[in-house]
Amino acid sequence: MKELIEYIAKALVDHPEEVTVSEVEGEITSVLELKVAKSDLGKVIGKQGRTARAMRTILSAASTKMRKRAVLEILE
Amino acid sequence: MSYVEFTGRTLKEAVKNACEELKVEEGLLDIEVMEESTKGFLGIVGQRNARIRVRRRDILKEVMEADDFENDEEQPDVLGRLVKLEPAGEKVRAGEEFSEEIPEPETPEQAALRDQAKEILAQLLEKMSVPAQVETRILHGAIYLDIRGDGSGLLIGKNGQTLNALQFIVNKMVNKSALAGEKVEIIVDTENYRRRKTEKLKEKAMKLCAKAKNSLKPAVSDPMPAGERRIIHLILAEDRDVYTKSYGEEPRRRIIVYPRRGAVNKRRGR
Repeated sequence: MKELIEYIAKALVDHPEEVTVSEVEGEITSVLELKVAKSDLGKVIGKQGRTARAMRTILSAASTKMRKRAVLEILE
Repeated sequence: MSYVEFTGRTLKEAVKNACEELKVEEGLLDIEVMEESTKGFLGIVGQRNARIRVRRRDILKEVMEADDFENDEEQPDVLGRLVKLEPAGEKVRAGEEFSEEIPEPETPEQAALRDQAKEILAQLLEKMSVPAQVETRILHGAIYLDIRGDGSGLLIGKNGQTLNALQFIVNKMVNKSALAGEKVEIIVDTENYRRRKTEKLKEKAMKLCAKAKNSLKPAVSDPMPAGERRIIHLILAEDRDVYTKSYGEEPRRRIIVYPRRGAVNKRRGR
């Protein structure tokens, strides 16, 4: 799941080398923390948060498949 | 195009004046009644002319205006274009094109983008641990990606949510460096979902339309996303007895189908 977010984020930003995703795993829920270059923040959030929402939707579909729950946090 | 005002002793006469002046058929005019005529009392007191304003109809533009669609890279409107492309006079057959298997000729650039899009989607699916094949073709100038294999509905999600998210993301990824106007549209589909959806929307449109006509009151839809509203606008744009508008704020924007002022149209036997 970490790779999934990393893959998406890297393709969207101007500075893919600054993309990091860290996974904080819990028993049921894991939290994915996405960090990007400051200038790329808007790219991963999108107009009205649309890109962020799309990523979260895809993420929850992926985690359902694994019978887990995952939350995406975008760090400023 | 701007409106021109016309008057007449009756509504009918005002419309006739407008048609003669502009040398067009009534059907091509967008007529707005500003003031209805009143006979007044004994034809002396309070008699008022009918006032209308008209302009040439432009169905496509009407649809755009009805919804203030932005130039929206996130919402590929190929579905809408399927409706648009229907030759005038023919019944709207939105969605049927999806079953068409005749490959469209493609340029080398399209082929390259198609492969790129396919690869991106395949990668995404793999990272989602969904085993599936992606098949591609060009559909009305857009890249059509069909996911084969999963079949569980997981990829569709509630109301197509997941499928739309995938489509949105793939569009963003492929068009990242493309300039405005050079972006390609990408449709992500699975299990014929897009076609089924268009058909459902067609039904919904007809239901709303019938409701508005029968009750002569505006019929309001459930909230729906921009792409779906556009399809309904396009389908109903062909019907001269109703017009459509969108109302509310995203994501709770709805369609309202208004019956047209029956007097003007019906009297002409429309």
